[in-house]
This record gives sequence, C-alpha cells and structure tokens, in this order.
Amino acid sequence: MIDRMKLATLRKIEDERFIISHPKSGELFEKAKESMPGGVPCPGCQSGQVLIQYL
Amino acid sequence: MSKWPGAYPIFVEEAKGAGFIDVDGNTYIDFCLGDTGSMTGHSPEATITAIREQAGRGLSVMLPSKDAAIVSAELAARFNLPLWQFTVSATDANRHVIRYSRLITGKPKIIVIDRCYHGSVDETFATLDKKGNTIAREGNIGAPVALDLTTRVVAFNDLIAMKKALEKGDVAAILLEPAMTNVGIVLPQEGYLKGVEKLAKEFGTMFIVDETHTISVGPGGMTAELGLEPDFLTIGKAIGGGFPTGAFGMKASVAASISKLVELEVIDTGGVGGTLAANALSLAAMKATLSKVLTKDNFERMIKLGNRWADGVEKTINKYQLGWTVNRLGARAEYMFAASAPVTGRQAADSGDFELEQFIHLRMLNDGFLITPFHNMALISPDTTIDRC
Repeated sequence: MIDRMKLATLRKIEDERFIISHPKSGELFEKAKESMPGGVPCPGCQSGQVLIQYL
Repeated sequence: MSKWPGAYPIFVEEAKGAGFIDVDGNTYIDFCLGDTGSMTGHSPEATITAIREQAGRGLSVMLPSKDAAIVSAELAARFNLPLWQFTVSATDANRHVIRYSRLITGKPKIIVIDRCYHGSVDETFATLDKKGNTIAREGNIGAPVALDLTTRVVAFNDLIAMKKALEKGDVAAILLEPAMTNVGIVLPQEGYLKGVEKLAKEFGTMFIVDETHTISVGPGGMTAELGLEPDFLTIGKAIGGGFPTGAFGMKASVAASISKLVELEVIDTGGVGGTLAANALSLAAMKATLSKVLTKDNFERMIKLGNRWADGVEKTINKYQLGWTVNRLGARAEYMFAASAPVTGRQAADSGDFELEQFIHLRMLNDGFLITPFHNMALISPDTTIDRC
C-alpha cells in the first residue's frame, strides 16, 4: 500500500530539487511560452507541470 | 500521453551515445533514447558520417538515390518480406498499409488491439468500453468519424475475440505490435501471433505487424524471431538512427494486387506516399544505421545489458517486497506495478499509478537517469555500458 501523503511530500522535495538544478531550462521554458503553446514545440515534449500547483 | 517529469521540460544542449547534457550542464544516462528513435545511441558515428556525406549531394529530389535498393534489400533480408516502400515516419507507413488493405480486400474496417499505439493514425485511437463496444479512446481529439465506423477493438492475447471480430467479414486488416510496448510491455502468449496470422488468412484479411518498437528483440524483430509471415510490416524510428524515416514491407502477392488496382495516371492522389518520402538523406541514414549500428553483434550486447538492467530491478523489487513485475523484450525492459505480468493492454493500463510513476521518474531525472516518460521502460543502446546500466 502506497502512503500517498508521504509520496506527496517526497514529490515536493523532488520538484524543488528539479527547479533549483534546472534554472536555464526554466528560463527557456518561460521564453518559449511566448511563441509555442505550452512552451513546447510539440505535444511529445509536454511536461507534468500541472502537478506542481502547490509550489 | 507524454508527461515528462518536472515543472517544465529540460532543454537539451547535446546528446551523444547513451547520454545527454542539458542547458544547465546536468548530465544524464538516457534509457528513453527518444522513445526508440535513438535506440542506436544518440548520433551514432556511422549514421552521422553518412548523413554528412549525403547532405552535400542533395537532400531530397523525389527520385530514387542509389541507396534505396540497398536499404530495401537489407530490410527484405531481415524481415523475410521481399518488397519495400519508404515513408517519412512509421505513422505514415501504418496509414498507407491500412489504405492498401482496404483497396485489396474491398472491406472497410480494421482491427486493433485495446490500448495499442501505432502513431497518430485516426483509426487506431479506439478502445473497448465496459460492455466490449468499440469507442473513441480518452484524449482522442478531432476524430473525423465515430471510431466504431472504422475500427473494431479486441484484447491482446484473445484469439476467441479476434475470431468473433472477423466473423462479420468486413475487416480489411488486423494491425498489431507483436508485443505491446506503449502501455508497458505486454508479451504474446505462446501461439497467439501465429493464431492471429491463421485467422487473418482464413477471413481474407491483411495481417499487419508493426515492428517499430519490437525490433528491440533483434535485427529482424519478432517477425524473424517467431517466423511470422505478415502481409505487411511497418517500421520507423530506430532504423534511421534518430533521423526521421519509415518503411513498410509486403509480400509479392500483396504488391501484385496493389499493382493491378492502382492507376498510374492518378497515383499522386491515392493517399499513399509523400513528397519527402524516401528522401536521399533518410536513405543514407538507414543504410549506415542498418549495416553498421543495428547489427547482430550490437543486438547481442544490448540484449545482454537489457537483461542485466531487468535482473537488477527485479532484485530490488524482491528485496523490498513491492509485488511488482518486470517484463523483458530484448534490449528493452519495463517494471510494472502489478504482481504478475499483464496479458492484455487493459490489465497493463489498470496497473498504472500516475502519481507514483511521476515521482519515480522525477527522482530518477534529478539523479541523472531518464526513462520513457509515459510508462516505466528502459531501452539499451549499443553505447550503453555495463557500469552505466
């Protein structure tokens, strides 16, 4: 049985780790949103950003 | 379907061999390999040399280059199908063989497997509802007509359902992957594929095998491994070493039927082909990739490492008593959140756990490992090394 609360806590830690270690990708993503829907060149590049609304 | 982990996609600076570097300087061991497009390893030397050489001698002429006959002969030898055509992608190859199947048989429908994936082909985005009816798959947008008008869906490994779906006599083709690879790996049970082949013949239906992902088992895919004799075979992705391409092979009798039915004068409006299909650059890439990268020796190494990866994951699953399972398909392997290996696409889909999957993928990404984003597959390239597997 998966402890969902624990999973969410661990996920938050990893989301924060990701953002700290990928600042340039973050900047490019913001820039990309100006000219591409969702900031990506095709649907296959879409990330799971919708899941981090708690950040 | 695609759900890369993380708040946003990582932007890639450079990919080479079994890994890549992102714009932030983070390095990764890549077990996704462009979801098979780069199963060869990123930018294999032989392929990029061939592309460089061809690039200065014409990219796309809409006439055959001398590589065309070499590549088609190589594919014929690998898959035991004599005649080949080239496309820009495996999706196009699937679209074209579906059209040809309708032309040859005069029948309207195709059969696909529940939870299959064959690229962005309209007829294949169908699934079964709880009553066993064919309906549009969730997420399917802008379908031109209701899916039950074009398609009949059956569960993988279910020969009784396959026969029932054929009995109305309106099925032009059965399109399947010999092992399902896009809902997690689902392996065929013994005798299943030969059983489908036999049923197709019995009902006058074209049997189409999509080897785009299952070429991971060896140079001739599962068709060669299992001695399958499909009417058509489709493939793409890895055969171009990461360069966009696709191809489909067919039996001589099938080609003869097409030849009788297609009018040369109006061949450009038949719905098959494309201006950039068989372009010189893609043929050069395929020639080099098939002859120097996707070789028997490299497959042996890749499969050995794939088994090593699977053994390690299995050991960890057992150590922590997770009750999960690992499926193997040559150079690819996959862990699934199910106690036993699923035998249908539905069982595989039902074993998914999106939250857990996303967390594990993100943790791996942060630790420098990339696996396929929409399930838990790892793919081994010729450049993957034992200390990085």
